[in-house]
Parts: sequence; C-alpha cells; structure tokens
Amino acid sequence: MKTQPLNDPLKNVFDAIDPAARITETDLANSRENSLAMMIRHTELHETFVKNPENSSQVKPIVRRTALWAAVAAAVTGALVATDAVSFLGHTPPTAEAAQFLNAAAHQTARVADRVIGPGQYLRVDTTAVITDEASSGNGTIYWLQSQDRQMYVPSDRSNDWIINFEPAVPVSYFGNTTEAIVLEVKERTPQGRNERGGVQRTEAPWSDTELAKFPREPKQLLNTIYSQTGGSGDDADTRAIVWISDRLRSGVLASDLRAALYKTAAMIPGMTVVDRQANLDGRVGTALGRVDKNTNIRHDILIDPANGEFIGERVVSIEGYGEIPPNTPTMWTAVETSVTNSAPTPES
Amino acid sequence: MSLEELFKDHREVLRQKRFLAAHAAGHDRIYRYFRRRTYSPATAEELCAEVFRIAWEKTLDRDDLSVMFLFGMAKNVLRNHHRATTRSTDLITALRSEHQSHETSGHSPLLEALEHLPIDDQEILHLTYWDGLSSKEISGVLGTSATAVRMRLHRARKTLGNLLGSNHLVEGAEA
Repeated sequence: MKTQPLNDPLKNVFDAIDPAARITETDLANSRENSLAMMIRHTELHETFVKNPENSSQVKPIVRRTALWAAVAAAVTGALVATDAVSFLGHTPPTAEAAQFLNAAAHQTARVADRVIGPGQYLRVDTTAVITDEASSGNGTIYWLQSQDRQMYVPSDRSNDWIINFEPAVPVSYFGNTTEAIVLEVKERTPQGRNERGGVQRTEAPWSDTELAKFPREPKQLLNTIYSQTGGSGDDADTRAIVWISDRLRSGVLASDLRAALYKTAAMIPGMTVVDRQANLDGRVGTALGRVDKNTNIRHDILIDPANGEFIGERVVSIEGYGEIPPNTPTMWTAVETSVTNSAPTPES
Repeated sequence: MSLEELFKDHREVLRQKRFLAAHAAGHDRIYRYFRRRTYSPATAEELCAEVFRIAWEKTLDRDDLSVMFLFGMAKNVLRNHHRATTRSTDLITALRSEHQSHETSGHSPLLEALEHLPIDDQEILHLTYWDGLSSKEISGVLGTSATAVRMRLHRARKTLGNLLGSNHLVEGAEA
C-alpha cells in the first residue's frame, strides 16, 4: 500500500527540481557498464584462472577505481570508532531508576543459561508483530493496525537452513471513523506481499556467529560501535541506537552474554526512563523502559520481565499522534517468546 | 572436469544470475539516487559501481539481493563518501551549493524551503518523492521505525506547506 498519496501535489513540485531529470540514456549506459565490471572481471578470472590454471600467468592484477577512497573512508570510520562517543553533554542522562533496572536485568539474564539445542532440535522464536499501515486515496488517508504472527526455527547447527513460517497478516483495528466499506476494502487488500500472505520459507541468519562474537561486551565500547554503525548525531543517534538494540533483542537468537551487554548498553543511552512497571504486551506483563525522540515525539520502549530479565518485546508510541492516530498510541509493537522444539515445518519449494 | 569443479561452475553460474538480476532491477534507481545526492555524474557512477562491487561480494553468501538491500548499501556508501570528502574541509557544503547551481535552473522556492528542514527530514522527503520509496521501505533504508518515518514525513510536509505559503500543496497529502 502506498504511503505516498496518488494525488499528492508535492510530487510535481519535487519532480520539477529533480536533478535526475537531466540523466541521459548515455549516462545510464556508462554506469551500467562500469558497475558490471567487477562481475565481468571475476568471470574472466574464473574462466582463465580457475578453469584453466595454466593461464594464470596471463591474469593481470585487479585494479579497483574505488579502492583509494574506500580505504580513506575505512580509515575515517575507524577513527570515529576509536573516538569516545559516549557523552551526556547536552542530553538528559538515563534516570537512575532506568539504569539500575537495566543493569539488574543484565545480571539476571547473564545468569540464565542459554537454551541447549540438541542435534535435530530447533530454537523456536515466536513473534507477534503489530504495525500501523495506511492507505490513501483522493478522499484522504486511513490508518489501521495489522498483526502478523511468525515462527522462526533455528537449527542446532546454525550454518544449516533456518526456517520461518509467516501466518497471514490480518488487520485488527482501525483509527478514526471507519466505514464498513473501508474495512472491507482493507481486508480485501490484505495481505499483499509474499510474506504477508504467509507460508513457510527458508531464511538465513540475520547475523553470523562470527559477527555476533565480534560485538564488544563492554557496554561503553558496544555503544560506540553502535553509534559508528548507525550514524546520525545527537537525539537521532540515540534513537537509532535503541532501534539497533531492539532489532537484535527481537531476533531471539542472542546468547545471554550479548543480551546482558545490550541491556547494560541501553542503560547508558541518554534519556532512558522507566515508563511503566506494569506494561502489558500480548498478555505478558513487564517493565517498559524507553526514551522519547525530541525530533519526532515518538517513544521507543523495550519491555523486560523483571522476574528473570527476559526480553518480552518492544513498542513504539506516538506521543502526539498524527493523522487519525490519537496521542500516546502504540503504533507498532512486537512480542517475542523462545522455546525448543524437535521439528520444523517443511519450506515451500 | 571433476565433479567438484562442475559443482563450483554451477555455483558460479547461479551467483552471476543472482547478481545480474539484482543489477537489472536496481541499477538505474541506485544511479539516480547518487545523481540526486552528489555533484557530478562521474561521482555518481563511481559510487554506483562501489555499491555493485559490494553486491557482487554479497552474492557469495546471500540468495536474495533486493532493491531495498541495494538502497541500504547505497546509503552507507554515500555516508562513507561524505565522511571522506569532509575530512579536511567542509567540502560538502561547497559541493552542495555547486551541485544546486549546476543542476537547477534559477531560483527555487522549494530548495530554499528545504534548507530550513532538518537534514533527516529532507532525506525522507527525497526518498519519498524522488526515489519513490514507501514509509516502510524508507524505515528499512534508514534503520528507523516506519512510524518515525511517517511522523517526520507528516511534519516535513506541514512545514514545507507553511514555508511555501501554499497549504494546498500539503492538503492533498494529509487529507
């Protein structure tokens, strides 16, 4: 569904100043050729060197036009990583209560042994994800919440295929005055994409074990790593850091030491507060900690079970609302639960 | 040829197919992305080639290179490019103004109005109106939530309407 309304008059205004309007077919052809060069070079090498090793003396070294600036960029990125990015100057520090809770949760979760997945077994990650969707027409924009359950099956040997089952996405509630005709139309248009329609697929690990192992467990270093990866500055950088942490916690596949490090790192992010000690997410009650992004007035929360430090889920709350969405509405939330199972569904071919 | 070599060849062919499919689907959009954000066709071409160089490497361990995945890489490549070029001087500012004077003819109230918006809001508008991405897609590229994107888009449209003194421009969008 298009977020951008079909009759949006701003589109014409932006089209009028679009620098890409001056692109010629020759420009595109040159760029296509240049951007295929790496593959062509590789194929030539494969043909002459891999398939006919006797020709190896004829192979010229690969020269990348972009190598120099890429090296410079890498050096600059490295310098940024080395810089101490953690500072509360100009920002509200996390509240003592939030920091205390997160550090305590880190100790709890670190003590919980990782689930043992035996040969032939799978780690099952159940997720309920609710998002706000919208559609526009000449009559305006309508907003609704759409829910989708999914189950991911992670094999004991993580290098084997991962399996994911998507349940069909369903609209669950609507914002504002919604007519029966609109509800019917939304239902007819949902689900749309392959994933929204549901089904069992093969998937891949979002991060390799090597990549996860590389993240520092020392919270200050980890926060610096996150800032350097996500970019942005000021308030925006802190919001991106929360999103980064939520993305990984939501996956349900992290070892306890990394989960603990992420909690401790969240405790260092400026503006983190305990927003609700009895937050209910999909029937599970936990403590919600979050921070409000001053640019958007949106709060990103993570929810943790105070009894055992387990990650329950996350939610995004629009403080001032927009369109038909009233203030203080969770516009997106995800609940996560993990277990061990002896089987996984068979992917569709 | 041994069986192992045959398999290796087969994998190589599949890899090339994956890459060519991604290239066909995404090249023109990625090139336009860079032309809109850099000062010269040569730079755009260079950065676009870098995206597909990385994409080629990714085909070793990824089955699917979606256009949005390419946009995500393009964003990182552009960020690194800006970091490199701003290292010694504030070159980007100079380049931007040069870019604008080259690429746009004469006075543009929209360009002036855009200058008053935060950089991130400008980018969301550009991704929406120039690159044709939805809020969901933009959230994936920028690594933020779709809600945050919608909120910023909503505000940016409103601010633009006020700055341009033409509320009708945003009424259709926000109705």
